[in-house]
Amino acid sequence: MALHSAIKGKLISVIGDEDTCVGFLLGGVGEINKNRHPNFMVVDKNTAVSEIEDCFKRFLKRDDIDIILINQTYAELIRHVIDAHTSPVPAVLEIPSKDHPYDASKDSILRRARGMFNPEDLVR
Amino acid sequence: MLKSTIVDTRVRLRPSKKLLDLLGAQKEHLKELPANLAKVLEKNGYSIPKSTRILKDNEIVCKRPQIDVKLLDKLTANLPDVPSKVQEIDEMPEEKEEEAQTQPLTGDFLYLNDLHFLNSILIELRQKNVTNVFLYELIESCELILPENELKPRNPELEARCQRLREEQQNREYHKMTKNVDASLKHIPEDTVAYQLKSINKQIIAVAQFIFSVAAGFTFGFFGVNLMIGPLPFGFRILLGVIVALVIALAEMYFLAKKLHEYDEVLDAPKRKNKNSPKVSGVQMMQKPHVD
Amino acid sequence: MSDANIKSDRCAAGQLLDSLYLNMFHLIEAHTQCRIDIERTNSDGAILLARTKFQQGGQSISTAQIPTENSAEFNALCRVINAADDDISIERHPVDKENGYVDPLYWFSVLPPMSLRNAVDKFKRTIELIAESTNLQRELNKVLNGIGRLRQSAAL
Repeated sequence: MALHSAIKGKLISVIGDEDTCVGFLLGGVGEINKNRHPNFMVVDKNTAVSEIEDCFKRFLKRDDIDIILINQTYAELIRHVIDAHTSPVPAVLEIPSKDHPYDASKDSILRRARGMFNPEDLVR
Repeated sequence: MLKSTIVDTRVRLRPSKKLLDLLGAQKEHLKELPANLAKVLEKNGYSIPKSTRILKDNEIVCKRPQIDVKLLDKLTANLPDVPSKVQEIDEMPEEKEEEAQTQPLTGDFLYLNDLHFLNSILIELRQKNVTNVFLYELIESCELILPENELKPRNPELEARCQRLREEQQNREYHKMTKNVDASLKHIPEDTVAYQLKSINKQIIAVAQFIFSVAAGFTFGFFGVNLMIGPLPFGFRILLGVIVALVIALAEMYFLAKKLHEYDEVLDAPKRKNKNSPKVSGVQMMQKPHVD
Repeated sequence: MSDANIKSDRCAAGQLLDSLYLNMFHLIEAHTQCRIDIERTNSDGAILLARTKFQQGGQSISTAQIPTENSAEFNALCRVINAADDDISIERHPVDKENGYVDPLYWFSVLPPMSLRNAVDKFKRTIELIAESTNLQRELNKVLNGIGRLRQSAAL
C-alpha cells in the first residue's frame, strides 16, 4: 500500500457533459483508483436521471472526494438531492456549462440565502 | 430570448415599507445620505431636508466586517444544530420565479454600499439612544434579489444555420445506422463505380505522393549534392541519396499514417459510439430520402 | 443578572447579526463573481478545444479518448489540500509515469498541437478558481448557518 500512503490531498470529482469532463480531465483532476472507480461521469443525452443521481450519491459517500463539480443543467435534474445535502464536505459546486451560463437564482446555496428573507409590503 | 452571462454581480435588495418609514421618521438625524438611497426615498414620497448632504458612491466605506466568531459560538453554544430549513426553500413560489424570468425587474433597489451606510447610521443612532433598531430587523422584511442573467435575443440567422447543421448531422447519422437494414439504401453510395474510383484515387494519390517525394529526395542526394560540391565518389553519392530519401520517407510516413488514421476514424467513429446505445434521442428523425 | 447586562448582550448579538448579514451580501457578490470567472475561463478553454477538434478532425477529442472503468488505474495530478484556517488550495503533482501520474494531454494526441496545450492552461486556471469558489461557498454556508442559529438564540 505504498501508493495509498503517498496520497495526501483529496479529489475533485466531475459530473458533466462531454466538454466539461474533457476540460477538467485535461486540467488533471481525473483519477481511476485501485477498484477501477473513476471520479468523473460523462453525461450525454441518453443518460437517465436516475444514473446521475446514483453517481452523485456514490460520490457523496466516498471519503476521498472533497469537491463535487456538477453542471448546473444536471444539478437542476437532481435538485432535491443537492438541496438535501447540507454538510460542508464534500462541497457541491454548480458550474456553468458551455451552452448554459451560470444562473444565480438556481444555485442551492443562494436560494437558501434568499430564503432567509421574508418579503412583506414591498415598494414597487 | 437567450440567457447570457451575468454582467452585474451586485446584490440588490428591494426595500420594504418598514425600512423607508423608519428612514423617513429619522430624517432629521441623517446628516448625509448616499445618492441612491436619497433617490429611492424621494421617489416614494419622503421629502429630504435641504441640509442633507448627498454622498457619492465612492465616499462610503464598503468593507467586509469582521465577524466575532467567539461571540457567535458563545451565543449559539446551547442551541442544537439546526437542520437548515429545506422546507422554507421549497416554499418559494415557483410562479414568482417564472415572472421574474420573463420580465426584467424594475423598481428601486438598495445596493451594498447603501446597506453599509445604513448600518453605520444605525450604530450611531443607537449610541445616541435615538432609536433601538437593528439593521437585521429592517432588512428581514426586504426581498433579496440575486444577480440576474442578461437576456439576449438570439440572432435568427445563426439559429437557422445551427438548425440546418443539426439536421444535416442527424440525417447523416441516420443513414449510417440504417444502411444495412434498408435494402433500398444498401447500395448507395458505396457501391457505385464512381464512388469507388474516387476513394481509390484519393489513396493512390497519397501513395504516389509518397513515392514521388522519396524519389525526389534520392535524386537530390545522388545528383544535386554532386553538382554543388564538385565530384564525389560513387559510393558516397549513393549513401547520401539513401540518407536523404530515408529522412523524407520518415516524415512522409508520419503524415501518411495520420491521414489514413483519420480516414478510418471518420468511417468507424459513429459505429463505435453507438455500439451500446442504439436508442436515439427524442428528436424527430429526418425522413430518409427514397431512391426508386 | 441585571437588566443592563441583558441589554448589552442583546446589543452585541444584534450587531453581530448585522455584520453577519453584511458579510453574507459580500460573500454572495464574491461567489457570483467567482462563478462568472469560472464560466469565462472555461469557455475560453472550450473554444481552444473546438479549434483543436477543427484541426484534427471531429473525433480527435471526445469521450472515446477518456479512460473508462476498464482502463488502467491512474492518479489525479491535482488534489485538494487544506491550507491555513479551513481554506483549501490546489496542489499539483509532477507527471510521473512509473507511479501512475500520467499526463492527460497525451490521451488525446501524440503530438499535442499548440491550441490543445493552451486549452490545458485555461483549464488549470479554472481549477484554481474552483478552489477559490469552494472557499467562498463554505464561508457563505458558515455565515448562513450562523444567521440561522443566531436568530433562534435566546439573546434576541
